[in-house]
Amino acid sequence: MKNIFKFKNKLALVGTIIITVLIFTAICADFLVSEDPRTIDLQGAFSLPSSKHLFGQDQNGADIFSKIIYGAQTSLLVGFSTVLISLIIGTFFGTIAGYLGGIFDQLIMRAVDIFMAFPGLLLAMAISALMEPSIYNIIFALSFSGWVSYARIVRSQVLSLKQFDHVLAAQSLGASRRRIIFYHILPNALGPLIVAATFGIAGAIIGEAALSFLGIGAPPTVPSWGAMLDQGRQHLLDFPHLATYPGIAIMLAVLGFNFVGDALRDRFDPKSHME
Amino acid sequence: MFHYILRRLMLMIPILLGVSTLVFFIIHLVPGDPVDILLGETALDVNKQVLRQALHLDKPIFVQYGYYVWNLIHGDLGTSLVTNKPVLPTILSRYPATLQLSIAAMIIAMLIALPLGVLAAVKKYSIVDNVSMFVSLLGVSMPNFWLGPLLIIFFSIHLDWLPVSGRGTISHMILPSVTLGAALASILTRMTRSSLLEVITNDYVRTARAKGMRESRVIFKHALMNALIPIITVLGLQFGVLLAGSIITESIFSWPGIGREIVQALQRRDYPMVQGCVLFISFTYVVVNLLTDIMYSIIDPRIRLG
Amino acid sequence: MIYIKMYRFLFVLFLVGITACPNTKKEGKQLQKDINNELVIGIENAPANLDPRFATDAYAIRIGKLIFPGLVTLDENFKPKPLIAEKIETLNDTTYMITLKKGVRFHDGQELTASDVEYTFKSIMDPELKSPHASGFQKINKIEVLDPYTLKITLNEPFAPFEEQILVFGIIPKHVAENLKDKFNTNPIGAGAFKFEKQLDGGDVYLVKNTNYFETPPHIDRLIFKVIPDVTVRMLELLKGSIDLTQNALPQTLLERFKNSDKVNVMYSPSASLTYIGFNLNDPMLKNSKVRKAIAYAINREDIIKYKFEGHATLARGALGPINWAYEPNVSTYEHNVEKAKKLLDEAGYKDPDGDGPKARFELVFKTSTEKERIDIAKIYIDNLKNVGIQLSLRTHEWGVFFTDIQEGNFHLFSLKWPFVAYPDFLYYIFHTKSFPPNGANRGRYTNAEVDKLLDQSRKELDRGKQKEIFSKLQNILADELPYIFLWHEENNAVVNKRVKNYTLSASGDFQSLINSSISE
Repeated sequence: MKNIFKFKNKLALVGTIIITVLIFTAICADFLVSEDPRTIDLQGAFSLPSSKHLFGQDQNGADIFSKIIYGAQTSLLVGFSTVLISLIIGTFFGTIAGYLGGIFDQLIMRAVDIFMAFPGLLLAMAISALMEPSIYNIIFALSFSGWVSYARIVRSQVLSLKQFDHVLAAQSLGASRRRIIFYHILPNALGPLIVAATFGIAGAIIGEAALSFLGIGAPPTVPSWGAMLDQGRQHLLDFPHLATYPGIAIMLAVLGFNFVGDALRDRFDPKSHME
Repeated sequence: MFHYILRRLMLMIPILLGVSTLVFFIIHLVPGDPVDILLGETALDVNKQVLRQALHLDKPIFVQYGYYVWNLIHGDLGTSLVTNKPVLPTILSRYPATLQLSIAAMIIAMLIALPLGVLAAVKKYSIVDNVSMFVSLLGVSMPNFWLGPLLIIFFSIHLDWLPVSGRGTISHMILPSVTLGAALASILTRMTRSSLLEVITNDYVRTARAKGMRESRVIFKHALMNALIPIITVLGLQFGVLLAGSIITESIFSWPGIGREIVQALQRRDYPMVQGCVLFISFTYVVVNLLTDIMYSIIDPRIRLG
Repeated sequence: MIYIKMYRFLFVLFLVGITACPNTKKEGKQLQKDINNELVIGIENAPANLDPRFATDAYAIRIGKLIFPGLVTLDENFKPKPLIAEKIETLNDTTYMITLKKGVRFHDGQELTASDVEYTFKSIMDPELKSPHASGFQKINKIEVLDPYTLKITLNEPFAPFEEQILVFGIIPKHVAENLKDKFNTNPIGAGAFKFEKQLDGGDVYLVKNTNYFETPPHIDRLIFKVIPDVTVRMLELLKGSIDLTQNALPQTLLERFKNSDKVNVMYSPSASLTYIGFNLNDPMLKNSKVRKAIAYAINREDIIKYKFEGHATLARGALGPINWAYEPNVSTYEHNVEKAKKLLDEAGYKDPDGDGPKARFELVFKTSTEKERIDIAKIYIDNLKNVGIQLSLRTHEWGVFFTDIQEGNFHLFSLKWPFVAYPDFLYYIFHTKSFPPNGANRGRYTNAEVDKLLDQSRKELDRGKQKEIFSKLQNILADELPYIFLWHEENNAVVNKRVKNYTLSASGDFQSLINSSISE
């Protein structure tokens, strides 16, 4: 594991820096900006970037810079939580399917097939409409369709690891099923999971933006890059700064996680392919 | 081969049944009464009751589900609650538009990804590699609904080369398919790079080189062809993402496919229409994956289907 | 060998792509022989059902009016004037004698007669057909066709808004609709200035001119209503010149850039729309009219109009706008006044726990749909109310959910816009006790015996002068009681290509003026 951060290529370094900055921004948001991102200043609406408002002001006169800073919290919360939840559900079902096999495997894999064939965005749309709008429900909606890819990865890992010597040895020594799964199988499946999770975070950030476009993203009082981008899009010709900054923020975040994901994949398992 | 295809086709039935069950319960659980939305407030309560009865909306949800499955088995997708027209012909007339856009997006993605990926793999860890990876990643990191208008502003407004939106000529197809295919292009580029890198170290490639074969010939004839197999797997799986992405792309480019129809139908709680569209999208996904599996055996005779 | 296969594969894909597009090119701007000019109108969503008996969405109704004229139409002050009808006589307060113009022909050449009118009205009333407009027609007791050009309609009880609510409906041909039943929208034939040509898969509607129209036929050969769901793209299409016109389809903030354009004109007209905040009057706090008034004083409508509408909206004093014939200007008004708002809240017993500190007097939930402009304005309300010590939390819901919530009274406050408050009888629909959902749109459950009495009276009073007095009284009571905050009347806006001549933007926001418009190339 200690070699993760040994950079063979520059992009991985860039990615790590972006993610570090992002996390730092999200944690220290309160210290970085003095202006409340919800401030209304109609007179200053659409103002161009200035020394007082670094990135200018949006259609309601709110400070775009502080919205971007606080937006990092939202994006990271959505990204990490979605992946974490998907990961837990996916690992649970993937392990059962792979380890127990038989009817469990059949049932779970059919469910996975169904979820794969179902347009995920539509599922998220329906779920968001179903519940009170909040960040947590967006996370839930995205996880609801996101778990399948992890389940597939875990299952295939478990299937191949089951045949490995150390697992067979542990089995013959009479180790309990739980012990084998938690001590011998899952730790070895961690590599591909971390790779998939890194890409998953990027995917969730884009997913949140897509939901914003459909009008069912983060609640309007929560600063969100996706919502900002969608709102600013209309003004691309006259006031491009409204969309450009959140657009770049999303791009950088997604790029960062993708760069790191690529590097991790090269490092962990050069043979496995992303799905 | 024939038996394999037959078995896979049989397997499609439970998947599609599962998909239709999932979509049925999800959209029926979403609050919002289609009759209220449909008839508005000026309608008579009596009429609303009559309409609810006619649509079986007054029955318990499991009874409604029974009707739905029964009709589905008989090939009846129902009648749109909004337009009063049967769902199946409506979808059939719009489905080609979605299919066309998705396929065009896929082709564009491959046209971008293969050269970039090969270049990156051949010049591994060089500036060229980094730049092509960076460029390809731009596609996946820009939300569709931002990329689309940016492309329109540049190519339709400033350069005046292409139409803004709508479907008609080939030139109408370019911007939406680039927008839709951008994310896939970036995934494929990286896929091409990594699978090519893996293949290049293989013995037969080394042998080919040792024989003094030109490098370009080695790459294209030996390496790339073998690297194609994982690429095609990804293509199959990503086709689903493409279809889902068409929901947004079609809305932006006023593309009259089923992706746009779904958004509108969901808003209007046009249950039969949503169910029908989802079924078609899922069906396409399943068929495309079957096709990619068959494709393996054509490209790589070592793989036997069975 | 394998790469040949790959290219073959790509080639096959390409072929599939091409053949999957059967109508390539044909749908382009290739005009038919008799089509010399066409006008493209950008619309936001597909009209669902053009049949006037079923049309409920705004575009279906407005496009439908070009195909299906009614017996009467509304003038600029929303008073009815005869269209297909030659004259309308009131024999007594429940009996109307209607004479039709002679020589009005449907698009298939058949003459429009009294039996078509009878058929149209009866089929709306027919429970089998489940028309959403049936409730208004419940007032009709009897329809008698006296001769091909005369019919007598008897009502159950006097109903003053009969002409503007019932006789405006488009007339459909009996001989066509009878066979098609509720599938008439597949072949909509009317007597209007434009004939239905086709509706594309995406919802685009093509109309061609009716050279035999019974009034002056239109000058434009073809109208294309193109569905463009995305607002940014609608704007870009206008800039590019690939659409010629949008009506109320772009937010005010986007119109500024068109003002100096050499390609398009921006037009405004006063409208009959009303944007309002609805209160839930079953709520113990909002029951108190002082709280409602305090909220009205707290909201800075003046600034919103100035900055969000660039001045293109009028402060509302009631539901009816200044252009309405029954408008009453002398009512209580609520100009932005933070001090008055605070005082009223104190009087109502909701003292601010820590003066101007962060603690709020109380919290209210404000619901709205996911429309971007509404959310922006809702954020301003939050700010406004914070200044008087009320915490407003904003909940946005997808339209279907939002609509269900307000129907069921599941809200504190919500904001919506009535697009067309044209006839004063609309007040009955939104404030009468009998109009609680699902029977009407009294969503806040407002109930006031005097208002009910006046509204009932207004329906029985056929004299417009006396009606106006009743409506004046009503507007006074409503402005004092404030079951709604009457926010503003947004102006209609249109962006129209300069090649379009003689186009005017009507107050109702319909497309009728396209009949008189022309195109200069």
